Amino acid sequence: MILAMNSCALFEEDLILGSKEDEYSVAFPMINSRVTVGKLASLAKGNVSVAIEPDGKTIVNYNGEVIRRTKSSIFPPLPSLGELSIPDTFVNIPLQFPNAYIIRKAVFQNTKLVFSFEHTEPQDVTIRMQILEVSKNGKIFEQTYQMPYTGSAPSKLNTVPVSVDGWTYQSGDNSLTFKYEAITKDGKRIKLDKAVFNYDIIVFSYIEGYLGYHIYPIQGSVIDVSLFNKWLSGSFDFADPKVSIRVENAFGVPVRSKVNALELTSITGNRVNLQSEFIQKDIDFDFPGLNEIGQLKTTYFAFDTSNSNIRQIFNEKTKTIVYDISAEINADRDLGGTGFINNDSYFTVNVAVEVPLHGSVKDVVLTDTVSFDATRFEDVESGELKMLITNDFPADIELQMYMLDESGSRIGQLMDEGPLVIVSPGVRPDGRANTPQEKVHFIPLSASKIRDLKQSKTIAIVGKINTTNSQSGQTLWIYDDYGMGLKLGALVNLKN
Amino acid sequence: MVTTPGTIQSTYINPSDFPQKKFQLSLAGIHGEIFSRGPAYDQMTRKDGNVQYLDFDQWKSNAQSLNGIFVQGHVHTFDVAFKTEKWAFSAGHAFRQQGGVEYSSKLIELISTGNAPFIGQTIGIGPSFQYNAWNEFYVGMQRKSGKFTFGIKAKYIAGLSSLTTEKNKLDFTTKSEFYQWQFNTDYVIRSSSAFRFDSFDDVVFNPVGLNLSFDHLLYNNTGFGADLGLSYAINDKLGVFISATDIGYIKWDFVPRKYESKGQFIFDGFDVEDVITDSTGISVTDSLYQIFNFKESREQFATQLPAKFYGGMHWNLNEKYTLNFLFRSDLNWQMNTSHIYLSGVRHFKVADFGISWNLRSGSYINPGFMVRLRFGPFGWYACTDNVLSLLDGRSQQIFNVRSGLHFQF
Repeated sequence: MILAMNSCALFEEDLILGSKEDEYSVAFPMINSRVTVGKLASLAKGNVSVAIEPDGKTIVNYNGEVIRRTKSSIFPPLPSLGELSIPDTFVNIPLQFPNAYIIRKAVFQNTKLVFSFEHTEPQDVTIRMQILEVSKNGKIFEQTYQMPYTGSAPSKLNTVPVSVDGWTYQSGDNSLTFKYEAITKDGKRIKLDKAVFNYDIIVFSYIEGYLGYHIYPIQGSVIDVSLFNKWLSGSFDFADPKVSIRVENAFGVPVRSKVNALELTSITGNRVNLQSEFIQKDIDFDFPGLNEIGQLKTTYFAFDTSNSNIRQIFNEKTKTIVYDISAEINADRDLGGTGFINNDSYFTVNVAVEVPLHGSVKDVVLTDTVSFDATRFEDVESGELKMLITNDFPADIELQMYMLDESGSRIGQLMDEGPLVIVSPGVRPDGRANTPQEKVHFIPLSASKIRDLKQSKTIAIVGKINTTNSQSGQTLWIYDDYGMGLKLGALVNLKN
Repeated sequence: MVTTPGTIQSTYINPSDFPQKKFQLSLAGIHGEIFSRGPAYDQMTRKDGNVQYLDFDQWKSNAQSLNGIFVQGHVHTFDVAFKTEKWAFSAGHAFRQQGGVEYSSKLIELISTGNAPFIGQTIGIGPSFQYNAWNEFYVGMQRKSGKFTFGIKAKYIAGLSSLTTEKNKLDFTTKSEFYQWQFNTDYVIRSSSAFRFDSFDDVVFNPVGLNLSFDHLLYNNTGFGADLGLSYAINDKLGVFISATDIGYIKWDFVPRKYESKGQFIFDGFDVEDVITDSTGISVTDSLYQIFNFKESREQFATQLPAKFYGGMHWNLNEKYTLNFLFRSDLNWQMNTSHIYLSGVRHFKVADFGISWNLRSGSYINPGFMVRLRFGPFGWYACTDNVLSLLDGRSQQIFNVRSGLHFQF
């Protein structure tokens, strides 16, 4: 028994997964992916969007701030101005609307009316009140109120608020006409000692008339164009960049825009104003007429190569575009004009930089740095990466990665024998890229390279791009089905 | 057990062994065994200073193509028996558990060297494992008829906990294209109370261990078994027997979980789009779990008791010496092994001492030792099939010990 206990005790030591001398090598897949322009387009976020034309041509949009105005910005709810006296049995009272509005027709929404009456007759009185400009289904607004005599004079009545939702107001002069009959019990018609009218708030669901002059300055807005952020050297030539203004207008009022200035700043800080005949010139945008209520009218205007020098200055690596644009409603201040707005009305102004991916790229060198966590390589002694690359783009691409230390100094490079060259599949006569072939690349990771990697804090990725025939200036389109296929596996030798 | 004929303990292997005394009571019998069909502990580990390392290189170099580690532990809480001239009757209880894992040398090689040496190859790495724990109650009967004695035990089984791989096909291929991992699986795990598996990061194995338990008694996980034996006395000194024990099954119906993975699955890395769009991060273990696509369901299952078949011989040379021979064949899950025991016992007035040699499949140097002390009607015995494992368990494939008390008159 003692022997058995002794034997059991022999197994009670801690057991640790072992250290050993032999090589431990793991081969594993890392990436199996094919990323196309179309797929990236669906992932675009922030101020960048990618539009795909029906034939697959790709346009990158850098969107500025969208200006949006709704009915409440044109005609905000009008609060009560206090009691309005009705001094006689038939009286016209003007309404005070801001901004020189002339309301010819409007439909009330969420508006309630109240009246107060007072008289000294020692008997019951019946009051029939009409507002001649307010009607519904051809019937004029009318309310009847009873004022029973309570034994003392004067008799007073504050009416219960009555909703006029859905009632239509029609006038040519912003006024209300009140007409009342006050009849005593014995049939005598009297004039009340006091009659006043009030409302809580006036809101219209639909307004027709002259809706005032409004100006919305859109100044100092900046569109960040990140297209050239990683540029190091070489030249781009995008064939048809544009700065576009798109106005969507469901207001039944004329909207006019004026571009006061468009300034492009390059990544080197150079500022250049866009030159165009349309700078400082009014641009009128379409609007729905009275017979087009509910329709959205879209007007598109672009500064492009046909009316500006944008191609020349944009291709100087534009980083930002600053614009100063104003949008005016009823710019002509025509009081006789009749426009409309309703609850669903709005207009938006969208300024964007549009870059059709059509052009050429010549000896462009791009660079980017990414932080690198060397602890992941702690147990790695050496290895090899195996890449299977399929390149659809009509461009030769050279890639190199540099390992940088804390001070940003170069420690070494990943590809010892020069950059990884991903060749173009070539171009067909119609400008489309040929069907690519999958190419296999090996990147050895020697022990010394792994040591360099372990000392690295950042990795600088440098890529050089030449579109096919860029030397001869051939411009090519990037199509949505272009993409890059990457199958990446790693074989690493680990130490224990 | 073969060295203690006429005791209750000897009926563990031969139910037809007729008691020597009219009344017998046995208490606290224990049996523990560890058997490695493959490398011994020392051949899997390496000591460096005060730390013992699990050394896969050494393990790999000592592994056979198919290896196993099996553990069993039985506690015979009590056994009682009485006899007449031709009949004997017995009853008892035991708490038993056993488990094991069987693995291929390729699995150890894979763990030892990584998968790079296997690029372009398919290797079978699916381990199989089993763990069962149960309570067993029996009643037994023996009948003498001339030179023959027949014995039988009928057992009621109350299962406590079970885990078993019903199928264990797991073929792993590292493809040469860009080192994709391809798995062909037909893997089925069954469990009742022992095991739960929600992901590779959330695996629960909950064996009963040393906690004597009577869970599920009479309600769930019931089973039945039998031991049978036939002895023949050639003459006063020489006898032979054959027997079969643990013929039966347990039907597991308490939360019987079934985990199944079947098909061909490939892990070929991550899609850049997923990396870009997945804000929660990419997990390799989650990806593998999804790839294996384990489906969990509830389904009752049955496991066989660890059947054993014996053939033996006793030869009482004289009052002082006895020779014994025993052949044993196990049909125990993956552990289908055969044993041959040869033993000699020297009888003294108050003690017996025996030595034995145990030949087991894949393990041939196993000298055993037995001691039995008698104090009137009281007795104590202890034995081992491999005394070397008590001196240096690290170097032995078999560690084995039995002990118990008995009272007889």
